[in-house]
Amino acid sequence: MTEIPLKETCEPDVRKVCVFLSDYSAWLLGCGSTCVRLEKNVTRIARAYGKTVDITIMPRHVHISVRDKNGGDFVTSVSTIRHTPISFNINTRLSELSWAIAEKRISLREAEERFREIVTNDRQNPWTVLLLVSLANASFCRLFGGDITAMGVVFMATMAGYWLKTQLLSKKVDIRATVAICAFVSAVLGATDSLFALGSTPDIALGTSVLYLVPGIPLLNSFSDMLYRYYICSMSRFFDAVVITGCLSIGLCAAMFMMNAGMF
Amino acid sequence: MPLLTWLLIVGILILAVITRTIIFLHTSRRERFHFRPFEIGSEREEFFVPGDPQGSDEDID
Repeated sequence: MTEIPLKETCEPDVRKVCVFLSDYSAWLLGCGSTCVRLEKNVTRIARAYGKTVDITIMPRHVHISVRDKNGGDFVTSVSTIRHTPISFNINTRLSELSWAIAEKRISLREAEERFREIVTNDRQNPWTVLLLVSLANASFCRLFGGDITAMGVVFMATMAGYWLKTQLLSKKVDIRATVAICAFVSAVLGATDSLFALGSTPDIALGTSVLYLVPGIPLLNSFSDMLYRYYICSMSRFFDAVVITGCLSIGLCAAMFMMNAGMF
Repeated sequence: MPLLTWLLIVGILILAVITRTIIFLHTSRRERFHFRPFEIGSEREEFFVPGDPQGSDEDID
């Protein structure tokens, strides 16, 4: 399929395109996108505006170099990747925006307005998220063979741990300390049925009470980046995931030690 | 020891929830009624004597 370029009168300035792509990249990576998705989206947008682009993706920064196709101005921008919660909603909508630019040929100004609207209006109800995360973890408990008592214990432990996590993160507590503390709290509460001799599967409740803290998305993204040969980002994400898993393990083991459960 | 740990964690969580709830309710009420029992400010916001310097006149580099 041949691409129909924009009319010359509609091609935006290369600097404006570079700034837009820089912000776009910072948000897309911050929301949990893989490197290959970023590269494809940014290239698609640049091509739609009659520009060529080179991207260097580092673990904490993105370098964007934009050039006119006819060899005019050459602009480079470096942006810091946004530290935002992972959001598939923003991820998807930003990808849709890149297709809208490429296929519907919307102007750069309209693209910027849509971009601002996407990144500022991701308002998930925190109570809904809390409830759904707790239900999901209780379902995990059931999948691993837990009984109804264990599911109830895991539900409460997850609700308490996740709520504590949101409170600590809102106070800018380091994510590693947050994970360790929340793992400890959830595991102590998850040991409720072994402490009070409730139900028949106390070990499963204890083990599944901390599953909501496992860094699944960084690990998956790490693997994806490795497949597409973005080795630096892949290793960075992998180490992040390992560190967080280590903190989770510390919290879990501390709780198991205090509660005289499991291997202690 | 396990029971003590469990009671301690539950107690701290309940205290945290109650504290956050009180703060939330107080903040919501304060936003509605603009009620501020205490605040820090300059004495010139309460007392003014003609001839006192204005805020911009106090800027000394």
